[in-house]
Amino acid sequence: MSPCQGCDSYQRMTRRQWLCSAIGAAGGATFLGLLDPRILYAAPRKKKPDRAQSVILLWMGGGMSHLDTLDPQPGSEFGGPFEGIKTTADGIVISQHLPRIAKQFKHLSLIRSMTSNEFDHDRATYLMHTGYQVLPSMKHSTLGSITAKYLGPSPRDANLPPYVSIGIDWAAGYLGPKFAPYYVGAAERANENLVVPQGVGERRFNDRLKLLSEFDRSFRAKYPRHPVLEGFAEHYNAALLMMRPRTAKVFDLDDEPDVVRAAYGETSGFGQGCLLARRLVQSGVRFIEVALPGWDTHQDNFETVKAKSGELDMAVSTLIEDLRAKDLWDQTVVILTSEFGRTPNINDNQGRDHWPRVWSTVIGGGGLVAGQVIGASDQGREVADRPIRVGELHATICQALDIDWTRSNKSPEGRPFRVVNDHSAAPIAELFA
Amino acid sequence: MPKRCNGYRTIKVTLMAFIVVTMARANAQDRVLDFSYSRPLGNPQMLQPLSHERPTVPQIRFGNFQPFNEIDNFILARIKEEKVKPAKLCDDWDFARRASLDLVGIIPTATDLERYFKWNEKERRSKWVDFLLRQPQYADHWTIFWGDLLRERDRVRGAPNGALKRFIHRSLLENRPYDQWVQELITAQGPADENDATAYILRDRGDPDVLTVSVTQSLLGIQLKCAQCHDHPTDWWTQNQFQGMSGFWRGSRPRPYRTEEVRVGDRVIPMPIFRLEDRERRADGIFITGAVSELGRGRKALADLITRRDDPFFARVAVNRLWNKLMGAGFVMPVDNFSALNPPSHPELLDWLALEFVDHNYDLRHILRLIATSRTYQQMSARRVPKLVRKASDTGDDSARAPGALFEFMPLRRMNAEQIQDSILAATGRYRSQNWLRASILKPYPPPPRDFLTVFGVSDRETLLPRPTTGSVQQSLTLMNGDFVSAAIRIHPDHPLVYWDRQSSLTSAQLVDALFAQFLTRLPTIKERQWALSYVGLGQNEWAWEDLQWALINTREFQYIR
Repeated sequence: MSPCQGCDSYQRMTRRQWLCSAIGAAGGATFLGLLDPRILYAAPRKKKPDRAQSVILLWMGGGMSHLDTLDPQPGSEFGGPFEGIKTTADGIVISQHLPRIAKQFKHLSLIRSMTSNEFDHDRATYLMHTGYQVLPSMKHSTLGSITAKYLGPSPRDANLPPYVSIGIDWAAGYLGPKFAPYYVGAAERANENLVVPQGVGERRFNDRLKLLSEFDRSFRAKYPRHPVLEGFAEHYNAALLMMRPRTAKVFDLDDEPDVVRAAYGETSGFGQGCLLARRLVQSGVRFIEVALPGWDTHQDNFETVKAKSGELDMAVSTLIEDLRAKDLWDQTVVILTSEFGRTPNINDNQGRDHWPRVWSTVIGGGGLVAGQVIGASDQGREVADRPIRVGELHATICQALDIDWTRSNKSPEGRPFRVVNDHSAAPIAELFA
Repeated sequence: MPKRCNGYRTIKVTLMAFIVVTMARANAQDRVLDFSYSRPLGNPQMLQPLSHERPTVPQIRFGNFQPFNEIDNFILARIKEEKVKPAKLCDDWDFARRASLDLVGIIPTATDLERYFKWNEKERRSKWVDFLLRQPQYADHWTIFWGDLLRERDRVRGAPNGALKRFIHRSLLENRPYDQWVQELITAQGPADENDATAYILRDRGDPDVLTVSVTQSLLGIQLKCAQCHDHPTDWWTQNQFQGMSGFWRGSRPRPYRTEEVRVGDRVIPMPIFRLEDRERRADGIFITGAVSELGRGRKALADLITRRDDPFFARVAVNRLWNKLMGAGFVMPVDNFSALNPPSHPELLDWLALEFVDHNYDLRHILRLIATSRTYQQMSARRVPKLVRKASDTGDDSARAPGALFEFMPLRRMNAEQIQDSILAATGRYRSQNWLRASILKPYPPPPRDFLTVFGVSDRETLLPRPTTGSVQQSLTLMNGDFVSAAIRIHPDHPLVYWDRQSSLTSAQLVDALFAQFLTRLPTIKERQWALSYVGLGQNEWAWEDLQWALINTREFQYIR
């Protein structure tokens, strides 16, 4: 007897049959209200073939020191002990501790003049993800939710959530629970809740669902269309659809050969997250964020950055190679950024403190022009040329995905919110051929 | 003539020197120059001090709607004025569940309900509230609540593990006055292994700026975060005021005291223990209301000033938080945005409750009892929430009012992470378990990312942002397929079903009824009982009873507070 005897039968049935068997009696009444997965997300829209289809956001949480990674200033007063190395992109020099990424740089572009006014982690992280400042009264939707809405579900598997967030969680914001990210805590165990528990077969699981439908009935009747209960049915339905073997398999990293898992970094949660991101892109998921926290180096900056650079180097270079090898590079925008940089001044604990005045962002893939350096910093201290704010970064990503960044969406109270908050923002022209 | 020219030149030179020196000093400290002296004095968002006189309780005649205590007088008076109808009272089952979840964080067990229904109908509900407030689970539940506010972390460098949690738990268990234990937290002295309260300050390494933001937001309900670096363009708190508040903490230094050898498995790890010392001379605090204390300008003064009877914030913020927790919304929203520019929905009731709190020696349980035994708390939850916002009539006020803002019905609320987890444990007889299936109070906070609690949304114990309240696909998957639920529903020797069967050899139908009472705090409908019985069949199939529990846990009804 196979451990999950349900899987085989799932594959035999068509999606509709499976759903109907899961619904239970009661005269064909829909289980918790919904049937078609396309109702769950926005309808997929016709996509221009030469535009990007997915986004991978690599989020360096805590404020990655730009001076010790992407904008090194070896030998200068504030440069610290790290040396710079040449990359395969003309004229771009990065930290010696990112050698493999340096080899891939001919496929990437570098923005050296990111800037904002936010010194605080939460506020800066929120700003970079949503393009808005924190408000006490409501939550804005992240770029991921917006991408999920405008690009629609994966064309390869509509049961997949269009927006997946690995290692970092976000609220849905004003676009509602439909476009909330699917949160994965640890990539290595991403699929553990996508399979029926051990010892419970397919038939028993269906029986459980029938019982659930019955016991839920009276409460549902008491609170018809109650706004607080709104997302409940959608979440359960989306969950059931994700349990289908073909969909659940996407999250199963054991499906990858060991040599691939090792190439991303066997013991690195971030590395395995990048591997999962590649699998998700292959299956057509629209926006994947993978977080690597721990860059908040107020103490022991150099030791920490060196260690983290190793992990980052391995995972990101493998990810880029992998996406290129599988012909996914031109349809996937990859961004690597942080909420702010770190102070040129080295403090008493051998650390650097928060510095939003200038920092660096890497962007590549998705048909964007490679090898460009956008903007410059004055030895890593201030913006010397071409300040780039979050609005321009978001507009660039939208342009690559063919989303109109000047459009607005309405919150439940009827307030309009622009996709890109900054009215003067325009995509970075140098990145488009 | 020459004399005057010399005079002017001297002034000019002095002025230039002053500017140059000030700028140099400012740059050296890397701070923004503060020109706030030019701002008008007086801060339009400052609240009036809490007066000593109670607002008059309005006399109310409102048909069949009788007030149970003074809270209802205020609430019903407004509802009548706005020509709205309040909801009817909820039934005893709903009340039992709601009060239990709000006051002790778990659903009532069938045994508790049996006792509840034996009481006389008229006194049933108030006796139930008294019963709940006496349970040890009261301290467990509210330790998490106050832990969120005080950003309690299990591991604090320089303090023993879980020190602050122990302090809060003990204070709640003994029902110590709120102002007293807040004072103890702020003025904590000495070695960390002799005084658990020191963990509050050690958690932030005694950093004056971080502590200022934390204390003002949690205890005074004001957001000073932005004022740290600059004068906020639309808020009236100035950088000067921030520096003033921060000054109270200066001179409080955590210092290494000794090292303790802690055995973890077969390794011995040295764990530092710090002590808190004060250099009172360094402290130079200026309170945000301008009030002055004879206890100096250090931490003792801050504790004194915060807990003063007429402080505009302390008592009001506390009762507002308690009201918010029980009623789903505070009089002032958001609860940490107290300002004259953000007026409360019921200013007289807020002040009345604040004074009640102060006059009863800051007794938290007293306020909770008052709220829980009011008619307002016992109203039914709204079946349908009207989409249209109705305007206030007769008062000439054109502002629209959101439904529920008058507390004319109880909102339908989701259980939070701890309530869901602990209720599953309570319903399956595992609340006292010490293994990985344990109650929230036994877990170190913040829980690790893979923990059941994290999936449902916990505070990171770093920021004071409110918890997420919406569901997610992950939550559905966790409840359907996760290890936690699978393990919890297994029939173990201490499972209530086994216990009931052994004690009273109930029939299957009676067991089904008891199961519904245990999980959903109600009896099954006839149809539900039939379904359950036919599912279980005649045998003692453990798996069938597991499936019943699974289904009950995954209903909407289980996860919401009706």
